[in-house]
Amino acid sequence: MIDKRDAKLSLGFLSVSFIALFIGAIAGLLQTLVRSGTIELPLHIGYYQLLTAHGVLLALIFTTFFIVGFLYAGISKTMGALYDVPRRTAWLGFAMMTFGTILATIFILLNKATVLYTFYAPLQASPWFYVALVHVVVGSWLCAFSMWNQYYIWKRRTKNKLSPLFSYMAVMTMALWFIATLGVAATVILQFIPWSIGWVDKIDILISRTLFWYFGHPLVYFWLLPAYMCWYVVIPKIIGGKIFSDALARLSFVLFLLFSIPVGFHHQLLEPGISHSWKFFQVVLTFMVIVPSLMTAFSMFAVFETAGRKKGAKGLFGWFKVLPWKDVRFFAPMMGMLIFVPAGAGGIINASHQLNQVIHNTLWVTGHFHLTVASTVALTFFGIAYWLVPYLSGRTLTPQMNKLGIIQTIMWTVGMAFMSGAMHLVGLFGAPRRTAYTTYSDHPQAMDWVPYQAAMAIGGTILFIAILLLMYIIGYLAFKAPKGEMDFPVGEVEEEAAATPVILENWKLWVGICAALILIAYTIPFWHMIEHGPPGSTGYKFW
Amino acid sequence: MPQLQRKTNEKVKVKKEKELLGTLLSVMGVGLFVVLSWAAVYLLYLSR
Repeated sequence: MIDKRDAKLSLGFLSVSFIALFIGAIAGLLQTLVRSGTIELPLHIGYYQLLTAHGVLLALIFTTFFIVGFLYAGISKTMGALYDVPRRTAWLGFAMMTFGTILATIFILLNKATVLYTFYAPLQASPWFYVALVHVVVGSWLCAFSMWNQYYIWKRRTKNKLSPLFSYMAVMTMALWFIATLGVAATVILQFIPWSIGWVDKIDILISRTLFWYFGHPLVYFWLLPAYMCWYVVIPKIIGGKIFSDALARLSFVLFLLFSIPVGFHHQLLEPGISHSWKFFQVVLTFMVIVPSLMTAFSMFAVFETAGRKKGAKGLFGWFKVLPWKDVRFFAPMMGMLIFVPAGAGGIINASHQLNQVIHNTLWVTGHFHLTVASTVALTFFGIAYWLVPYLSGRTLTPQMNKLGIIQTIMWTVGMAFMSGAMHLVGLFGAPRRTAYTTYSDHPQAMDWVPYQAAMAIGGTILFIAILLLMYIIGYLAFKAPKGEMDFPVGEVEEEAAATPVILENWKLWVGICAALILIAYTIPFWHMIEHGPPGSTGYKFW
Repeated sequence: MPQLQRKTNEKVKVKKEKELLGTLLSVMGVGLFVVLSWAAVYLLYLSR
């Protein structure tokens, strides 16, 4: 068991994340029912209001709080109890983030911030919504500073010993988050807040979107890296195997830092005002992310095969059968890994310029990120929560809850197959995203989309039942499960694995290269945006 | 003696590569899925 004060801190973050998950899931269910024409919303609740609540509470709040809570637990486990200053800073960060979350939720519920998850200008929210987001981001920065401080003190006290793999990955994840959020902080503080207060009349749309996507794509990797931490560090221990290579794991995280940030233009491929050559350059960098992704796939398959062979598995793929499929701590993240195959393929399609014209702004994109963040990442986080919550609460994961967890995982996978599958298909037929129910005056093409929207509603309903089941399991594990000691699974590295090169822990080098790549990818196109700046736009509040 | 030791190390290495054939084929399978998905949407793009 980690230090009780650290367990309390981690549980604090996890609690807010699950409350946000529940509220966001209600919004998601209602969205699918509205979009399929099944229901009409009562009490003047708007579809786009729900869309904002769903996106902000799930994509930003659930994920960030869960990640920070998980990282603190793992840091305390692998580097020892948090030192006083890092722990105090962490609580300050928690307070700021929670305050920002409550404020943002209030303004969304009041319909004063119906600007979708991307809060794209010229849609305009109350200034308080943007102030709330600043609190969430700055609070998360305090958490980043606190983790780096812990790492720094630990390195000094251990005389520069190689850091534990989990803690190294946590430091890298927060470095990626900090560098990425500089963009969104800049647009919110320098553009959105003055514009929404009325200090300036107009906002430069292109710059605001560019700064948003400078943040928006690495945000995906901020979600994914903690899932990879579970796959690299936790899963080998659960399946009775060993980490394939410490050096490979660290190198893949370095590459994710380098290649996930200077790539935002692949979200703006159809945006006017950016030259094709700069879009092409950033697409090339985007494709570089395939390298660490396949390294991760190789590493995981190698862990499975090696562990299976040690258990006596025969044949080319016999090791696949001997994996612990009945252990939810493995099963849920494994389903996430398998879903990442089509999710990753979809991402490569999205980032290809010509192919992007087929799927841009269609429901395909919504289907895509429901495979990445809402399946690969969410299922891995659920799998983590099934052992982390009882571990931190001094309770145990009972066989009954393990079984319910497996049922929950299957329901999630089936529900997502319906919902995301239908979204992908109907997106290829041209159905737009971010749109409430309409038949476009019974246009034949739009009428063809209706059965797919019904499938989305069926999937959404199954997913919501899975969320109710998840809430029951998490509540039981936190408050009712029998008291006892759980294991925090941390894998050991294979004996034959090569030693980890010291250079992988040279932060100045990697952050320096990362900064150089960002400057190369953004400086000239950004200068063009300022030099040939459009006239700007006043704010719009449609709903 | 050093020569003998080197031979032993080489043997271990060869054995390990054989053990990971399933891994290699699995990753190739992932790559193939990516290429086929990409080609399918590219053909859709060309057909429009």
